[in-house]
Amino acid sequence: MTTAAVEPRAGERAPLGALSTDHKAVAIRLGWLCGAFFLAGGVLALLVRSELAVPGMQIVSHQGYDQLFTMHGSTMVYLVVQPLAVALGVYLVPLQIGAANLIAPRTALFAVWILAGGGALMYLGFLTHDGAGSAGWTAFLPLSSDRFVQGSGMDMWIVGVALANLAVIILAAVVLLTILLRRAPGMTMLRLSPFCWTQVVTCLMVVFAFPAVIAAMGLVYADRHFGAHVDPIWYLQLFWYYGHPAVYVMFFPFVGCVAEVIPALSRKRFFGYRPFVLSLMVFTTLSMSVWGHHLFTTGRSANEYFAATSTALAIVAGVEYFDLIATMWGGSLLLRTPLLFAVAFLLQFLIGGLTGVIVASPPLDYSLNDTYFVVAHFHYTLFAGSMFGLFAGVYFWFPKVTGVQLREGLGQIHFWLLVAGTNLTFMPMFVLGYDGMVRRVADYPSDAGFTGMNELATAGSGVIAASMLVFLANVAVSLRWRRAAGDDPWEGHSLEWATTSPPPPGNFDRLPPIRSSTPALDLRRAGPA
Amino acid sequence: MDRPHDTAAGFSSLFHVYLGVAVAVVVLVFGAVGVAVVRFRRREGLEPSQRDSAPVAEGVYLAILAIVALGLIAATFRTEGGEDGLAARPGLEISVTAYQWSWRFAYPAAGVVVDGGAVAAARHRNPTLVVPAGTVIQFSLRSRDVLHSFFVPDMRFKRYAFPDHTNVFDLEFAKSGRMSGACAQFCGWDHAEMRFDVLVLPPARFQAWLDARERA
Amino acid sequence: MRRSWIWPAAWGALLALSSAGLWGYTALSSSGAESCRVSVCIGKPWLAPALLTASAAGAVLLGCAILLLREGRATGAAADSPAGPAVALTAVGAVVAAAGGAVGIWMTWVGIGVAAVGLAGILAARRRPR
Repeated sequence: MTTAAVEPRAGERAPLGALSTDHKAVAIRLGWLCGAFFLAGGVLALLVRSELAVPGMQIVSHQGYDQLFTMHGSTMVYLVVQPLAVALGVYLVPLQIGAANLIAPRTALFAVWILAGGGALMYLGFLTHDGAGSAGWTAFLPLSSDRFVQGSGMDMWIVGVALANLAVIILAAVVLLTILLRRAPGMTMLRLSPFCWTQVVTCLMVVFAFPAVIAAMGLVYADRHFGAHVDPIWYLQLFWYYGHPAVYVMFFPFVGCVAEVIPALSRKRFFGYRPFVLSLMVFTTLSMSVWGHHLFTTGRSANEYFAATSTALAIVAGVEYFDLIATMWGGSLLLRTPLLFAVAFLLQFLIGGLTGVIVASPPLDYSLNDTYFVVAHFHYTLFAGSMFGLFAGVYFWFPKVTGVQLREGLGQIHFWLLVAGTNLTFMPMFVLGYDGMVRRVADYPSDAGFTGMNELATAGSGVIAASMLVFLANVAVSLRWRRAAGDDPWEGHSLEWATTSPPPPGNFDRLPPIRSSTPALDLRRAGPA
Repeated sequence: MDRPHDTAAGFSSLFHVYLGVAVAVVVLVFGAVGVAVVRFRRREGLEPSQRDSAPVAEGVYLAILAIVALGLIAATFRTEGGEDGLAARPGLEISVTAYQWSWRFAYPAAGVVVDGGAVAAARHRNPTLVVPAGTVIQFSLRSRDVLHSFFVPDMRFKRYAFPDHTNVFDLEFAKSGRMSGACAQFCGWDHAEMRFDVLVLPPARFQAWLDARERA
Repeated sequence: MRRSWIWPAAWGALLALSSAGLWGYTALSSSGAESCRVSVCIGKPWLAPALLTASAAGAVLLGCAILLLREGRATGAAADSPAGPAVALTAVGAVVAAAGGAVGIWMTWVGIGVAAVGLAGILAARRRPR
């Protein structure tokens, strides 16, 4: 029933890894599950881009196209990036705080199975008569009601989305409580790694904002099945109350990856630790307070308040940029794949962030909202930003998780292809949006002047696909012809580098002394005992 | 601001401010990262610095960011205050109804209606919204079914159409000419086809058009 | 003394500050009033600040709960719980029960049954000596 791969990797201890309650196994299963969904969502994106390359409907009907972009967005948000954000915590948090496992391992396992089931249910919608969900990943009412979108596929989508978000809420609650209650002696809150701090604030946002999307799904369900004529403004407020923190949930853990890679590969301690922690607290408060910017063009939201909070985000983001760049400055930079991805994250996310400041202004948003400008903005933050941060983390922690290194040559090819493909796909979309091309359209007029940019974007999507194939090849090659990595190939700072690769079942045979936020660095500097 | 409802002009001046700030930030950040990657590349004899804080520098930097952000917010509020206002005596009132998948434009004072879906012969006939140049026009916008969005790209403006609420806003089209319009809020199967044209006429010719339609 | 409770409580306080700002803006601005005379008129003006206030309250409550809970040992048995298969079965039951909302009430009953079996398995595994 769970379509996503839960086969153990070569060399994995437990043949029944999908039933293990060891947090490392749970996280690895999540990784495979989300990876499979990522490939599915990517195929959907390729279909979307193939259809949009030139005017006219070549591949699918209008109704088929609506399912394609709905399932692409739904997969990437609900089934890939949200779960991966907390999956990173599921693996790393117990290790980085010196705990043997999560505080509630069975609950975490339960959540992974719920996620798999919810995702499978959404995809099963494709097999129904009216197809899969087709009202966008946002499923606004009244469109998503049964008066306008019929069929059980849409209902399966609603239930699947509720389950997938419930899974993420459960996982986040478990990770958060683990950090708050299971730190080893000496690991005070202000000695947590920068990555763990990103998990604290991410999990707070999940726990205190994500229930709103479950409520929103409840509203759609009530409208479809109990004849409730829900006022659209209720749905919009509830959905976006979840929806804005959601995009920050899909950002912070990945900036957390970058915040671990840069110090290690620069041979410098993280710069500005306390300002960083403070800025995370303020940043996430703000991210809970800006959702009305998705409603600027409704004319029914507190535009000025939300414009102010949304623009203020630039201040806290700026602090984080200062700290990350200052960490690199004066260091000794090892320009291997993890750091390449981290640097690309900084540069590309910046473009996403700055265009976000632009649409945080209502008069500018009145023009750019619901156009390809916004599509470009969020792909720059989530794909050119967060996904690059994720790859930085993957290349960095792969040796810790598996005991073997990923190939550097293939990694470089993956990196450069992905940079080229990403920018070729999404930069033209800023132009399209500025020129007035609206989003979620199956087709566009041949005389609108949109064709050239669409062709470029489609070409770029092919390059992205090629880069992903290189990455998959790298994983396959590295696991087949194994090159042992050792306990600490990157001279890491946090506790996970002070144990074996992979770590033993209880994580630490002997816990090193914890007297700062860089216990592994301290241990190395103290020399052999 | 003299013509606060000329949203195209409002967008243009504000966008240039934001774009300028964005380009400056890109140059600074790309520059700093570029220099770091070249200058601090790992090599023999390069000892990394152990500095991990600079509270004064970070504080000054934070203050600069806050000032820039406040400046942007102030510029935004100024433009928005003008655009969001409603003229006490608009030159014309137009009522727009959006529906799956076309538009109905009504001129209540003259009793004139232009309806894209009413032309039985051509299924995807784009209706034309005819308006006078240089006049503040008050639009009332509503939907007959799902959420839609009335979007005129060249006017740099859009607004949602709700089925249970009327949105009212003012626009002033500066010059005569032709523009295109679209639905910007996903509304189902033929969302991509839900387009309209805008024809901006000098006031006298507009009045002539309106009178001719009224008599017909 | 462990002070981790401070962090969720502080976050809740920050959210409370933000929601106070939004309450204030809504109360003072004409766009939130009944007599709205601009093109932006806030619909259900109390809804947005209420959502923020709810999150603020929740985070503060979490802080209080952490303060009252005794922190557990950091290390401890990390062995794979034998309840793994039962947990998975319970989850499958829950998914099937939920899917009944899309397919039919009969499926919800099937799901509840499966989940009940799973729960029984979890309870049994917990009672078994390690």
